Amino acid sequence: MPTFLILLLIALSVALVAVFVFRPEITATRGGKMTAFLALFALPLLCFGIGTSSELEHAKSTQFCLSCHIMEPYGRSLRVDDPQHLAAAHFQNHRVPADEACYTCHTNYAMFGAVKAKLGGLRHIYVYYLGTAPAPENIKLYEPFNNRECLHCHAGARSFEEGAVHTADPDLLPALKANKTSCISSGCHDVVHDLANLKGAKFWKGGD
Amino acid sequence: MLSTSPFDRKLQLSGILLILGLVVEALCLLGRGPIAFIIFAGLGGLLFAGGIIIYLYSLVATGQRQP
Repeated sequence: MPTFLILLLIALSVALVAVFVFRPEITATRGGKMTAFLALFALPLLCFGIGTSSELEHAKSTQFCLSCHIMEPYGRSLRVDDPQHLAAAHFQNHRVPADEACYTCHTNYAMFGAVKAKLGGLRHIYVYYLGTAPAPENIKLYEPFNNRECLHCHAGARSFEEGAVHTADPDLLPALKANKTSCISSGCHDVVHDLANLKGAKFWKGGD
Repeated sequence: MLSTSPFDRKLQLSGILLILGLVVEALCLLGRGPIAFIIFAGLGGLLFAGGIIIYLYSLVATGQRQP
């Protein structure tokens, strides 16, 4: 829902609630009681629900993730001009939606995965503003990256299922699918966010 | 100015909390940063919950007084 429509609904709700703040006696009539229920219960709940949904949706955006200073090098790593850099190659080639790049790879494609990702995000905000935030290069994932997140898109794709490297060893594909061999730490796609070498890296200027 | 009637006063209080909650929500929707998100979920949520609970309580309290 566009933000201006939500703001319009909020303005309407404020106006309606204000009627009951200044003229509470109108609840003496049946119509007044029904309007009070709408103004003091239904509309605020609706506004809060829509607002929460909008905020959560916005929290998926790349811009939101990179708005914390500590994440700035991770944002720069998406623009490294080298196809060997996994995150950069995905971002620049739109293998993930560019405006939801962080969330697409770092959410959890299991049941309640989105909820888990949001709770993780709240923890990040807590640590960033109230705790001791680590240096960007010391940030670690809570748990090893699960191949499930890669396979959410790549499973069944020809480039994945029939790729020369993937099919060279008949045990590799089953091991990848069972998360026994990691896509990113097995010497294959192991350059993800290479913060250590960002200084000397060449950056892609497009995509703005 | 708050009314002298307890029921009306509760309605007014509920309304004031809800207006504050709605204003907080509107500001957070315009802000759109992590801080706005926290204020929306924390302060906004509390104000909404407070306003709605007081409104519902006012209905129950009025109902109890009637024979």
